[in-house]
Amino acid sequence: MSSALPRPVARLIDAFARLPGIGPKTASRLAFHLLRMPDDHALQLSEALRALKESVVHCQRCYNIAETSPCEVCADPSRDSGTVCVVEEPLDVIALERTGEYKGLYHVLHGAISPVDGIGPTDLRIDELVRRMGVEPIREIILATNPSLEGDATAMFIERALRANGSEVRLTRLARGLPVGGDIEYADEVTLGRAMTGRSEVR
Amino acid sequence: MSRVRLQKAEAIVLKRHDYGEADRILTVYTRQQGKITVIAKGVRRIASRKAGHVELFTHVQMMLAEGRNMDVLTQAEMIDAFPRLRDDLVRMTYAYHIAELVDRFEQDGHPSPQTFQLLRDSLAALGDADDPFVVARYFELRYLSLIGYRPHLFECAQCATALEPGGAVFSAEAGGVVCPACARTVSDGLRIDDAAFRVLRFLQTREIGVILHLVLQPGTRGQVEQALHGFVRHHLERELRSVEFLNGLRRVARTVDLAPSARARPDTVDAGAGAERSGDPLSELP
Ligand SMILES: [Zn+2]
Ligand SMILES: [Zn+2]
Repeated sequence: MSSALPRPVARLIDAFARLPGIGPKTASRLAFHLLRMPDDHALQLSEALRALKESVVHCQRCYNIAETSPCEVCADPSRDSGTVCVVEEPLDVIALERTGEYKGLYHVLHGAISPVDGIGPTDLRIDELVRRMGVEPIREIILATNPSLEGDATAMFIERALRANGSEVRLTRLARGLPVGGDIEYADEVTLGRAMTGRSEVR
Repeated sequence: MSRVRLQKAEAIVLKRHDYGEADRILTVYTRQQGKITVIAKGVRRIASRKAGHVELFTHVQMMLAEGRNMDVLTQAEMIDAFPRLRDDLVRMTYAYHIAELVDRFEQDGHPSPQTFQLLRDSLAALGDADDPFVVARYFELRYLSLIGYRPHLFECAQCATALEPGGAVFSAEAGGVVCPACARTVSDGLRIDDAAFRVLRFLQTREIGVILHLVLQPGTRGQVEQALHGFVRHHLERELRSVEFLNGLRRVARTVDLAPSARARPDTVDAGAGAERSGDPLSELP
């Protein structure tokens, strides 16, 4: 199919097709859309791509993506450095920041333990978290991995790794309740069981 | 008006991957149709009613609507989540191992009620057994028989003479244990001792309830595992991801205790002489 296309177009289609969730048809549509776009819009996109790879770094404290290391959160003196919230991905930090409820620091693992994808404990930033425990005044670690098989396995492993290193830090897990807008009758037993175990005082 | 055809499927979730914004594609093994692929729409949204019912390794009753490329999940009700294999990374890895075996060996749409039952019983046993390692090996031996690759353990895989107890030579190429005469002719012979040979025979011929309290000595475990992994690799012509993952986990386990604290830790349990415990189930072997 690509042989009838000018090479730059074919190259762009191939590049799009490598993105998650994009098949060959969508890739072609996107490429032709860009071709019809005003020049300056297309150039803005290419500039944004270049900047993405050139000026995004990993914060050497929390491993979130940032423009500087330490990142804005880690460098902010008003944040509580005694609390660290462990998440799987940078997007989870954004979601938690949006709530405005959390004032501590983060630690981004960049994934979760997943036998299916061949991602083991050593592929994640878990050693780095253990090291932070040794040098930072951390009182509490909030394990905010996804409520999935992989997220739970990761949280469990981190607990073991911290205890194996003699840490007695307070470990908490995000409350796993019922989804807002859901019906108890439709809840699966794992979710319902956890909601029951993690129930809280009525205030 | 278009009428959508709905059908029930009793399924076990073998594999899943994200698709689009909030969907997931599930590979499931069903009692009715064997291995099939279904799309579960919207399940990655945290408020999804179906999500918790279709996690990996759950036993679930599904309603499927015929779709253009694959069936669409319309309802899901969990039958069993096997919760005890979710709080233990090693048990979970073995669950992944048996799911991976089924996924690799099965063709789409070839149902086998025995395979379904074995898969279900083995997942349950992985949560209950003293040592999940034993359940994984049990599953391998039974599953290989169901799909026509039963390893020969009672007669020579090559010349069919009855095998004597004692040390033996296991050959994946020949299809199991070979007699001393044939052992000289195979190129991939693996020497296994009497205990390992007895364990293989035991697992191949006993019901799953009997193996739940079986704990093996480290030396026996190693030989049994090596023989069966070699056998599986020979038929799949590739390495399983779960095997590599488990090896990585074992390296980590030297510094981090992986088993939940409240449970027995088979790797450190001394099963005494031989390979037995709990009423010595191996003693009934010929
Ligand atoms: Zn930072
Ligand atoms: Zn022979």
